[in-house]
Amino acid sequence: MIELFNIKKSFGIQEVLKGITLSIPKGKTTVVLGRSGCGKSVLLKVILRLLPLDEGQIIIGGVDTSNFSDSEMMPIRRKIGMLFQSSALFDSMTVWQNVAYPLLENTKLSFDEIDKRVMALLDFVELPEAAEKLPGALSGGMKKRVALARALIAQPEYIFYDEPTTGLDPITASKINLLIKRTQNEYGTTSVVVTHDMVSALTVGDFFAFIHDGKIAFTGNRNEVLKSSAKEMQDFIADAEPREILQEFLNIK
Amino acid sequence: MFKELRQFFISISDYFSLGLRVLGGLFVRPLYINETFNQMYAIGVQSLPIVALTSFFTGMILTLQSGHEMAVFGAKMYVGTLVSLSLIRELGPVLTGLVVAGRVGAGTAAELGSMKVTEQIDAMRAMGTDPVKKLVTTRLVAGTIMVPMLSVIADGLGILGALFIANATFAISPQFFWKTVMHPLTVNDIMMGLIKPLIFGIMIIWTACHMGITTTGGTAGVGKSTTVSVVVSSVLILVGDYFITQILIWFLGM
Repeated sequence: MIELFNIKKSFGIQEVLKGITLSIPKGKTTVVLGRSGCGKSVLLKVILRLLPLDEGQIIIGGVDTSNFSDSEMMPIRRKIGMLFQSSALFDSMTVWQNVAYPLLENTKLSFDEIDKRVMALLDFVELPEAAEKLPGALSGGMKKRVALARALIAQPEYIFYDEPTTGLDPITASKINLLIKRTQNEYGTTSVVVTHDMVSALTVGDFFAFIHDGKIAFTGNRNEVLKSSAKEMQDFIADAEPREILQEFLNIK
Repeated sequence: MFKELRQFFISISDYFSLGLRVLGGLFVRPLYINETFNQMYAIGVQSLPIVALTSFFTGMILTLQSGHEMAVFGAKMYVGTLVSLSLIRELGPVLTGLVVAGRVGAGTAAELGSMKVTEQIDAMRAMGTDPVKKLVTTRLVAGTIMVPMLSVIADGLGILGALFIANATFAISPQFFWKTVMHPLTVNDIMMGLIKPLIFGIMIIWTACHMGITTTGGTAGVGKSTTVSVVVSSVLILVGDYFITQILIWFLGM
């Protein structure tokens, strides 16, 4: 479980997070919704302390990390897999090396064991043939799948997804959503998905939090999101997807 | 104006704090030995052709220019002395430094800058790796070892180029030229020729890594970091050379 109390983060005079308080339940997928630029990705990076925390308290798995230094955060970060918006694969390494990276860096597993795990995960993301390719030779969707394999390789307790479907065509986005769902079902990790894609959110999410004006404006489950009377939430849903697409998606569901 | 000045001092503070972080983690595991060897290859071995070419021709030009002038005073036989002292004390280290700043400094700033703007450095941190140890310390250690080695090779090849011109243009025998090269050299000259490139190596890689990992502003930012890295390194080499020379003259009693 991850608990956030009154998280504040500014960049210069621009206050992005103005006091986020949120509990992320264990073993569930929490979707953080909000318009572009509202601070969703900043929130993930503050939790991981890739960005410094200005004010507030962060408790990860019962450990208060609010005042942790970068080196104290290292073991905490190893429990968290992160899928970056840009995939953030290492350009100079092959897909195999990218996926194996966390194990090569942080464990003393044998080469055979690492290879077995890497190939199993590349099978899971349906990219076993890409093992020897460089990231530059992959499409955006393939990069996301490799990044997901890399996030999963160290069997993390938590996985953070930063805009997993942004910039992908609907078919590829749907594949990524299904992979996130499968990951949740097979690995049972605690997941946090940051997105402004309502179809993606409704496909993968168990619990939803909506950020508006630097604060959590709404929390609830899927039905509560759709039936919410909160104006900001309704406006966001209305603007997020063309109504017909969302309606069609909900009918299929 | 105040904002820019503040930014400048923050940048200087970050520059020195990066140096302290490298020093603090120098002997702390993981040591990334393989990565350091890879960087030694990239910085040293791959810079060798351009350093060799530059120093060989510099030796030739230096001999050609000074030989004719010295002939006026009937001293052309001692062109080897002038060339060896110039190359070992000054031109070898400075030219090697400038070539490495252009080739390796630009490459390092661009590579790390790209990694920064595409979140690869954040990804490294997110996976529990210290990017300063993995990316900066390895390069800094490699640069500190390889730039002096490149400078020694540059000195040797410069003298070889000079020997070639001295023999072909001024009919100085190789044996005599070699004697005039070696005769004036002292241990202090050799020390100066080794300490300077060692400091230049540290300055070039430190500057390039700092510019790289503090890059912001997308691909335009990468270009800016690369340019600033080369300019700052070159200025540091040229201005630093004077002060290092002055300090070494005091210390070595030359």
